[in-house]
Amino acid sequence: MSKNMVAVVYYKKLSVKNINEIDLSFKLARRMGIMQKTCIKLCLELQEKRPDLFELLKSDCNIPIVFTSAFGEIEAIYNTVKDVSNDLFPVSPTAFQHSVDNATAGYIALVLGLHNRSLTMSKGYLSVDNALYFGAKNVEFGLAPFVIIINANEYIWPKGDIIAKAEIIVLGNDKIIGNEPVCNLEKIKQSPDLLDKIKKIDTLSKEVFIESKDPDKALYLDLDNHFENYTRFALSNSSDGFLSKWDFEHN
Amino acid sequence: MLPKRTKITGVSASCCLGSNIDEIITKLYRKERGQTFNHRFKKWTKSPLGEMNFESFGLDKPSESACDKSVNHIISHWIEDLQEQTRLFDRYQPSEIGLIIGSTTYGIEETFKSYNTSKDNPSIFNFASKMMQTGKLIEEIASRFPIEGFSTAVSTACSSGAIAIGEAYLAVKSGMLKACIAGGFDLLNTVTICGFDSLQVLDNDLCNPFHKNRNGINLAEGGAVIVIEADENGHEPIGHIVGYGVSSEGYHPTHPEPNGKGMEFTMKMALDNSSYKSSDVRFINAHGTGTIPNDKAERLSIDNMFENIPYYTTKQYTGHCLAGAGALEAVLTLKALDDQNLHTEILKEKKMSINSDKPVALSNSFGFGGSNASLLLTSSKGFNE
Repeated sequence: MSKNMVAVVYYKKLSVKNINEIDLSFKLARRMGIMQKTCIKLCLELQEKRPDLFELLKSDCNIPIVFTSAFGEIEAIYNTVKDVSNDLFPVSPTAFQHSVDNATAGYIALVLGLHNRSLTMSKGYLSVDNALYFGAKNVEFGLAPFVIIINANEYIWPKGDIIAKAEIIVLGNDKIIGNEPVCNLEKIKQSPDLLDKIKKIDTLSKEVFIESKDPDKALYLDLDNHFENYTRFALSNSSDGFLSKWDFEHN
Repeated sequence: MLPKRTKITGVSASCCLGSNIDEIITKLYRKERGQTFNHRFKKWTKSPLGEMNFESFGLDKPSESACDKSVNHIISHWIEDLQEQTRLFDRYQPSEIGLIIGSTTYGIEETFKSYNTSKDNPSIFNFASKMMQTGKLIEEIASRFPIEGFSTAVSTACSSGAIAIGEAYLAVKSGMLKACIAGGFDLLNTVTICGFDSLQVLDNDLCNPFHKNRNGINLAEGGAVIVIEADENGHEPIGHIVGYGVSSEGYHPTHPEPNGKGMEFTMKMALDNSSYKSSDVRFINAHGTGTIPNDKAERLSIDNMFENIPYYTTKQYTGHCLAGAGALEAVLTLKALDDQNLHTEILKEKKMSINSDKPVALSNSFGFGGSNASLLLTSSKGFNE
């Protein structure tokens, strides 16, 4: 069976330091945490830019929307664990509802009126690379013409404020690309003991190797920071890893 | 239609009814209920819970908040059991084998530790323990076995186990993997107990799903893992997944759409993605949590789609195993397809009868966030794709 090519057809990232920065006009938004609102904002922007993708989502509910997060719904988890640790019962029902990892995915479906295959997956610090691998293989093997990946995390800031970082990546086949693809995903491989294998890769090419010891930096693809070909390695403590090669030049 | 046929070649399961599938089936025959009032969470809830027998795994009973190591240990035990049944690791290269496991609370033990470490400085909460992430479960398990293919934790609340199995089925069917170990598992902890308690959905008596006097859920521990592989390989099948529906209700964060349309849509998706039709369905192992809104919506969805179809829920006997429920119930559905007497006993009380000529059965799982999944299963005898 021939495999489909995979391109990044849309990419956007957003960092939000104050929940009031995001103005969503519907009532439900009052219930949402900062990460949820950030992700909804990114999805609404995608809907505006690529309405054709949402037509396709509505006509084929097997097309997946993947939400991934290394840490999950941190504010809700922290508040629920705090209540339980301090015997403050009953715990907040809203915090508990939001503490399930797929709360954001549920809100995305609700706000956008989507009934698609919705997956919330996690693989620690490798979460975004793992979701990317899953999405790329779904497109490559013909399971879906495109896959929307939303990668997001919340953080507690020193004064107790909650901030959120999120990025949305749409991977698609050649029929979905549109006029302005971001880049091609030439290759993505999952492999344990990747460090050993890296030595065998041709380092004389003009590829830039992204290797970060800052785990938070590794949590995001940051595709808008790259304008030439590069190779990304993401490695976990257990030596599991992903290698992805990106081609920006042909776009 | 995706090209490859798949088969299930191994199953391993545990819950409050037993530590292996034979024990569970034996007790289901006797219609024994695994839930007990005398459990380790008495301080937090009056509701009966389904506790697992940790001794049978060589484990001490975990404390109320510390269960991650026990989760690792039990899933590893199941995978060793699957290897004994299927010789999976001898027949495939590590890169050809995947692992997809559903969990709602893996990492909770480390989350409590992180909270205690970061009380005075919450900004370090995320990074206080690298092990508090749900996804760490997969790294821990995969590193113990020769598994190097796609692997991930799925966390879609109570449908996690079913979605893990459904995605494994798609991965094998599409050729992305040659074999995949998939399932779901949760142990109970104080966050789960207190959270469900705050939602006022726990029944303080033994649960009574689909009954007019039903009053809520009995939470429980347990789950299952199965091996799905491409049908081109020699190992004997136990059964087959022949359809998978997964959808978002998009109605409410915790309540199902009252008219059951979201659930109906998911069951229809499973059938539409298969070569079977609704009249081929012999019975439905329903989600059936015992809450008033879930059971009402699910019954409506079943009535809308089927005529006089027998349906039941094994949660009455096993309790609700959360991320493990969909996987455990898929295994019990397979067993019931092969063993006519098992569901006859369960259905006797409901005055329903089974037409055993019909080849397939549905196993439903519906979760918080409107995350729904239906698996369409058949025994090895009924497979005619």
